[in-house]
Amino acid sequence: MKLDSAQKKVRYIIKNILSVEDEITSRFYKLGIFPGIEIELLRKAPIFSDPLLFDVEGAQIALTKGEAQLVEVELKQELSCQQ
Amino acid sequence: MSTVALVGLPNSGKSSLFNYITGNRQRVANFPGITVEKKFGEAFVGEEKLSLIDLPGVYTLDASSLDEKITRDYVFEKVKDDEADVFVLVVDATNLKKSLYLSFQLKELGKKFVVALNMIDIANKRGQKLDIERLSQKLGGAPVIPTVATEGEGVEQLLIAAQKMTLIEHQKFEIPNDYQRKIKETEYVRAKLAEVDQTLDEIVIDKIKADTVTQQIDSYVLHPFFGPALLFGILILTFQLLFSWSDPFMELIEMGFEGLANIATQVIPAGYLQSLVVDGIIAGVGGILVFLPHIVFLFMIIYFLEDVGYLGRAAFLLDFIMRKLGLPGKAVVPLLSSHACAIPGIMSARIIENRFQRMVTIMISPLATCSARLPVYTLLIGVIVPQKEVLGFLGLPGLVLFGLYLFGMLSAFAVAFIAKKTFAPTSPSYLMMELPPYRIPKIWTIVRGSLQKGWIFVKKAGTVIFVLSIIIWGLVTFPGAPKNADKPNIHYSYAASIGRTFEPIFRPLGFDWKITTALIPSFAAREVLVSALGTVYAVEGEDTEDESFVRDLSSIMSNEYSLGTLMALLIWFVFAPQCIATFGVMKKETGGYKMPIIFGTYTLVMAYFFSFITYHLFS
Repeated sequence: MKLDSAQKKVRYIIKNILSVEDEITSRFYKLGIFPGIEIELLRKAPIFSDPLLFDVEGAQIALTKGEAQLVEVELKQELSCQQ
Repeated sequence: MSTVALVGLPNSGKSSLFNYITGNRQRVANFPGITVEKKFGEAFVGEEKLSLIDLPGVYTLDASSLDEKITRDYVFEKVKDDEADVFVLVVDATNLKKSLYLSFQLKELGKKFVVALNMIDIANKRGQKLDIERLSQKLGGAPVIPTVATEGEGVEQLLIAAQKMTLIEHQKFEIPNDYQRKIKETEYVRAKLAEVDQTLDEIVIDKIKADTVTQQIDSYVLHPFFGPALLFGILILTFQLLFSWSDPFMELIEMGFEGLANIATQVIPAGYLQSLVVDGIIAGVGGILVFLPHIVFLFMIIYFLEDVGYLGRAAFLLDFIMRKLGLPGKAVVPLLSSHACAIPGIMSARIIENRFQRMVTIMISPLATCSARLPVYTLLIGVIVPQKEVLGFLGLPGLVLFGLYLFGMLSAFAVAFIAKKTFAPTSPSYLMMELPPYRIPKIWTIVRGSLQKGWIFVKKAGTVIFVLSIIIWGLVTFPGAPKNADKPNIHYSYAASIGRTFEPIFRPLGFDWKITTALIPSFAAREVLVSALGTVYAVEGEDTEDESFVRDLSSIMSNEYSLGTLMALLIWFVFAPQCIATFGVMKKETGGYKMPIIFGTYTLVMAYFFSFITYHLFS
């Protein structure tokens, strides 16, 4: 799934950045958004729910919906279930 | 004397550190050819004097914004003067992951640097424990000094460490030619991040706890209802404060220059010299300094909001609306401030990182109805609009005035929209940003920063404005009335010749030569139109705020001109003439004459177009 359809209070793991442009990808990377990192939707902007605010390892990162669509994520499997 | 350069992330406390070290021994200068300021200062380690440079904050060395390019070029030693002997890398201890990236780049380039592990108090409070020695090893032996820049903690040790580093012989390191390109590649970034991650694994003993305070505050500040309400309140308050704080200071400045003019009138015998000193020089300098209160107070408010951490939130809340116009959420600050005065408004456009968006914002801000248009609007509305009530409680003159404000802003939006559609921006724009944690603002840094802004305006834009005011004075004064002339001096001036020459062009708008002549001095400042018209028609009385003056001029205007002409003149002032101070500050902020010329042209075209339509609608 893409990050723009993320739900609040659910933790996701970033799978991939869906951009062919180095500049965009490295911008994501520098904000700490790259494969393997945990991410969680904190809130949506009051108007049209765009942009979105995420928690990335303690930092608050704002992305527009369009930008969030470039981030592929999957649900984090809770460790407690596996053990 | 050794040179120490401060680098670091935005918001890492770099400015606080610089201010703490240099105290009052700092100076501000522009970087060669560009409009971003660099700050110099001095520090003493024992007997030895160190020269300090504060570079613009960067995340990495692959620069995208103007500020970032300056720091990059400096680190790459493309700027030949005052090369650094040692760098002080200011690191935000609460956000190591991001800061480490830059430190590895400095290491990779073979730079000598000392790390200031700043805000260590907050990091400790949030439970972070680090193996500092290990971090130093990882960074090639660069000393790592924990600091609290605002309190001055650790600063002495930092300077001693930096001074010691200057003694070590510099290993000259050639920067590879393709380095600038290479560091933009995903592969490079990925490898660097892996290096950062691995280092963090090794040095972090106890992880930092989440900043729950910031998240709690955000639950109100970004709340679906309270968020926009607070934003609206803050914007209105900013606007109000700008007016109410600046007013007394502006009056004081005006009074001071009036006093000066009075003295000069008495001391210097009447003639061209007196006129030059009083109407040219004193009025010109006064016309520059009168902008200072607005500039200083607006920047105090902006720096405060930025320091607290609110500016990013405002951008977040407004992003969606402004994006439709091709502008970032932050553009609301210059657009709103320009309703007080376009000068501070244009200067505040610097908070916009994207160059294209910054240029568009600068170009449309002066369309906002600034306070200097009010005397003109008041005069013309007084002549045109009858005192009638609409819907029983709304005064018609007030409604027209409101309509003019609205027309100005809508025109600005329209221009922004057209610019977005017409000129494909060279660099795409992003929101993609980190909202910084809330912090208690450092008042001294804010006050000093805004005073510096004011001083830079006087120094950089002041000269252009001053020269132009003298030229306008010359046009209005020379060649002077012949003997036994029966009309006011201005009738025989170059301004009048120009007014008469251009009259045919303006006739389709219903303007006669008297209006076109009066438009020339109003380049100096729009409100001058009122006194200029008074001069042209030789209305008795000097004080343009005097009731009888306004009444006399109003009755002349309504006798002389048709409704169409007066309406056209009113609309003309929505777009033009833009005052020379606007052009001066625009030249400074855009770094050349291109933008001011484009701006002057497009506002003139719009003024002509809309005045033409208005004249024909009302004739």
